[in-house]
Amino acid sequence: MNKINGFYIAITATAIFAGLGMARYFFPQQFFTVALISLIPLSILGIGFRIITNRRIQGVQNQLIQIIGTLEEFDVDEPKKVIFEKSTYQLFNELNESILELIERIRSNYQANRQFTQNASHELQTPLAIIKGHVEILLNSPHLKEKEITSLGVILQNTNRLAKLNHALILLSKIENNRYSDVETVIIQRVISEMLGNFKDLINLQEIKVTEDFGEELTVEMSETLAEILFANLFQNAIRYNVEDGFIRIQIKERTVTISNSGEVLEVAPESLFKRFKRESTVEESLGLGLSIIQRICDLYDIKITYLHQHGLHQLILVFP
Amino acid sequence: MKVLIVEDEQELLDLMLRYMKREGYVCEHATTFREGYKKINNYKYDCAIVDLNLPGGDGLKLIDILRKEMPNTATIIISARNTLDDRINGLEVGADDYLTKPFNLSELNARIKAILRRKTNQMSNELVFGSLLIDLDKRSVVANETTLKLTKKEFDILVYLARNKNRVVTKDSIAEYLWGDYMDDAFSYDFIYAHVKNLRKKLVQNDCGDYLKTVYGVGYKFISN
Repeated sequence: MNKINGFYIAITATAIFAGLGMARYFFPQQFFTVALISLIPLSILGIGFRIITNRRIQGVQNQLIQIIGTLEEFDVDEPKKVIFEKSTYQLFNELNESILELIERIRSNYQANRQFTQNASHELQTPLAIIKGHVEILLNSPHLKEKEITSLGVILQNTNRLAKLNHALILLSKIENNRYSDVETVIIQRVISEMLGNFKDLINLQEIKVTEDFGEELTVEMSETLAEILFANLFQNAIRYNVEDGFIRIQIKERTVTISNSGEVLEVAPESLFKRFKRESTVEESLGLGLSIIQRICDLYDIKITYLHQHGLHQLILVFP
Repeated sequence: MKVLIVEDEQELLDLMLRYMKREGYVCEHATTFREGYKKINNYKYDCAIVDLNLPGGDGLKLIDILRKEMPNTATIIISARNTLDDRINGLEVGADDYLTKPFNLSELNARIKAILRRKTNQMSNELVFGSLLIDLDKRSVVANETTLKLTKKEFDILVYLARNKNRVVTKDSIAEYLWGDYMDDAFSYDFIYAHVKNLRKKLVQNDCGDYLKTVYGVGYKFISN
């Protein structure tokens, strides 16, 4: 904008000086009179020119702002049609058209992606159910030897792992596809109490001591389901990687939630913990997807999550925005 | 007892048929929406197990028809769709229960029994095995005339095993039955182990110890002759 203005000023100035130069050459005596006379229309011309271009630029700018506004409102999840106002500039109409085409393509890709997730879950669940069912039937056939039962047990155990893995992957892709857009006001203390309740049996079994320091009520705008999944996963880890007679401490201070627990020292670098499929090898059968799920949910709502290991205890610190 | 199974996945259908027949039920089946529709129009069933994704239509419609025309039929939805919305829809239409694939056959079996018990309004809501008596309404267990003090989970495990008597019930199926989705893998097995151990101790103290048998590495079995 300023550059363009400057450009026109420069042209006007050059024109004036050129006029003056020529006048001086032809009429040296009346130079100043001529200079004055020629200066007036030229500057009027210059100012007029500036006003007109300014208006046009303003118009272009407004239309651009409109387009940006429309694009900012666009949500791939919403079926609402994107509409651009018709512009007086052909170029803008063309731009709008290609944006609409792009949006259409994004939408159909998104739909296809979604469909795939759903189909994949459906297609995988049924064969898994069939395997499980047959093992169940075999387990109940008469005259089985102990060795055969053990083999069937191994098949069953691993089929269950597959089923759970599938379940977790579907959950991850759902979060990645923004399927949990039902944002509401969630009270973190309430979610934590509820999830701890679900794990009460296990906490008692391992004789883990839980202490809560809940502070002021902490509310967060997020999907309640995801809040539950987040804390369920956090507590599951705090219990799983704990030791017998250990402890879990939950502290809430302003917008920071700190979960500390006793446990063995990690053998893996803490940063790599959040990658898919990484896991501590000493604990059997953990799927390693729990931390990825935690990470995904935190990314979604700009929750800062850090892991610390100090003074022999594991600490996960969540800072809510 | 007559059971209708509507499921398009042939292998899963065969499995359920085999399992149900062993349970002593008279079974019929349909593999498409139309077939299912015809069956429920022409015959009466005590229980209908319906898949939602059927060729030719939505299983929910079958449930809806059953609810309106044969309200005494127990209905169970089995589906791979497991979002909360699907569940709510299914139960709103009037299904008695909703099971997500992949499910355990023993769980399906236990749920059918629970619903039928509720539906048929049996006078005594009790399971009796020799000297062991389980009262489902009062949630109490009497062994040789002594009332046992069981925790909630111990009671649930006992009922689940008793409903699947003389069958091997796997640990993961018990875990799913007790905790649903929240719990996973090995460490819930430890918990089941601890519970069954306590349960058995209480039964043994009252000379009812022979009912629970451990199937090593797999699960448990409730023995009753």
